[in-house]
Amino acid sequence: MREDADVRTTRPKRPGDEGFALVLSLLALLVLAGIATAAAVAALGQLRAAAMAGRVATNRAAALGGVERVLAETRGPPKAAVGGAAVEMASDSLGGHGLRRVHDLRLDRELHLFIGEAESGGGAPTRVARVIWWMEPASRVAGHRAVVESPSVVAAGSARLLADSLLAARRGLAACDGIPLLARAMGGGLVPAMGGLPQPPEWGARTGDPSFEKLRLGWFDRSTLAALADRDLSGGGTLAPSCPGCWSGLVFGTGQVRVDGSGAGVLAVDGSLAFGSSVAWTGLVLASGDVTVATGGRVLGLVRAGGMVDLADNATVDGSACAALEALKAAASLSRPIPLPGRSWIGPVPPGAE
Amino acid sequence: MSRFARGPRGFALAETIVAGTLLLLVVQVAWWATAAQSLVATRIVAGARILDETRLVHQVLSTEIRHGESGGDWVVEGGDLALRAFRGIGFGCGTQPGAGWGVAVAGHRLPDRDKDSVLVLSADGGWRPAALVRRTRTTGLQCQQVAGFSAEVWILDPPPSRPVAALYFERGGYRLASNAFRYRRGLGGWQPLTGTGIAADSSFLLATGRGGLEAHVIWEDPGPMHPSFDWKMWARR
Repeated sequence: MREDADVRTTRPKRPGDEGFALVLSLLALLVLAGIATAAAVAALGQLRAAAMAGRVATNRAAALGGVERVLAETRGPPKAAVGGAAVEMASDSLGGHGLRRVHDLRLDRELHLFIGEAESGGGAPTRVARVIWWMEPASRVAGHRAVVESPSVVAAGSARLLADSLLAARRGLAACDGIPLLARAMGGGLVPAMGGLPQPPEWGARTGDPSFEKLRLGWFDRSTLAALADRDLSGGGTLAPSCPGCWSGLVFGTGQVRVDGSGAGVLAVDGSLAFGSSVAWTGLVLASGDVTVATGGRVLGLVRAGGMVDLADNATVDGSACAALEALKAAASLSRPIPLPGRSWIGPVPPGAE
Repeated sequence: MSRFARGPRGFALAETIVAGTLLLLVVQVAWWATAAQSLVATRIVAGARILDETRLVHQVLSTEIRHGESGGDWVVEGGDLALRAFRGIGFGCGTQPGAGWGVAVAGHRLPDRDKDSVLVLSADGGWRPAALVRRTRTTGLQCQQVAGFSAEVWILDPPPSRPVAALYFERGGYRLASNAFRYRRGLGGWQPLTGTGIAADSSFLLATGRGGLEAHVIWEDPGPMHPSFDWKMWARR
């Protein structure tokens, strides 16, 4: 009897009695795991997207920063030739596992394309491109179509306006007839002594770029010229160069500017400019207003004035492209790349496969 | 007769009730946990989709207006952004063919004369539009070697004077309408770039002062985060 009871108590369970709770639990766990996996995958996707967005932003900022840095630090004439191979302007590592480079493509005499590229670890390389204007002295001089460009020129009887030795050597100045661009533009009496003002972008403003309205030198506008000046006479004043035979670089002024001593360089004045008696100036003269050369005064170079040019007795403007060229070359602050005003960043430029 | 042999008979009903109650409790808790987790997971997935698609809208708009100028290249009219969608650039090669302009080209896609026009930069610094009449791939020109650029000859109308560089573009438009962010090429149909779910009545694109573009995107399904996204973009100068 005891044996029977023990047998009943310890009899094996039938399949249905083995506990479906475990199966249910496993099923529930499976469902929960599936849901959790979906959430984890979504979160992981976001993580990856955020990481990629971060890399793209980093590379983009590095490429843009590379171009900006080259613009900020580069001085002197360009090394690239028109239509020639791209010149590497900068190359540095990004955090030890990436690379940033900037190349200069010279598209025209004064127009360049800076291509900045950056790639940090993990891909997403980025390239940006910017159109750059980089002044070339010969191109600036070749843009002059007369020794004196002005709406009106008044010259006393004994004043002289000469245009017969534009490319010839002068005392202290080498001849510049060996420069093909100048020889083409100014050789053989192509440039007269007097002429009207040229059209934009040589002088004046197009619609939409009023900063060039009064004074410009290529794509340097009034405020840029003021910022780059070696000598600033904003508000007017008197310039008395300490060294008559030295290049003064870029002299910028506004209002009424008077030159009371002989000197040389680029004179850019948003206003009127007066050369004192017997003062000699060698170089390039740009003024938005009137230019007056007093008795016995002498300008060796080229003059462009938005107002009247008045030459007193015995005053001379001796046309010399070489003097203007040397003045521009000597103005080191102007020898730098700047972004082309208006649209300068261009794209899209996809990353190139090396 | 042992104690074990008699015991189970007397507690069968109580055990069943307790077991049933416990089972019900377990099932209910499991159901609640599953439902709660499902809700959280759904929100995460929905939120991820909203973030993805908002990021897409942001990326597309900021990329499209980055190289353009407000007014000239893009304008917002009636909530639609109409624009020149730039697709690539080109620069003049060192040697030029007898006819046409030799240009090295790179972009998101190759230029297509059926779709694209060209904005040409001349040596005088001015940008002027022209129609792309014909383009042919070429290997006979000496172009500056830049990775990713290939040489082509373009016939443009009007022929450009002293061309230096160019941008090619298609006319396009973007809008937030019919529950999605949409694009159309030329005057074609509006194609969705995102899934539906954008509250089009409350979402808009707006031109702001100083050449900026403001986007305001609201999602119908709030998800786990705030459903409203606002940002402003400017062209790079």
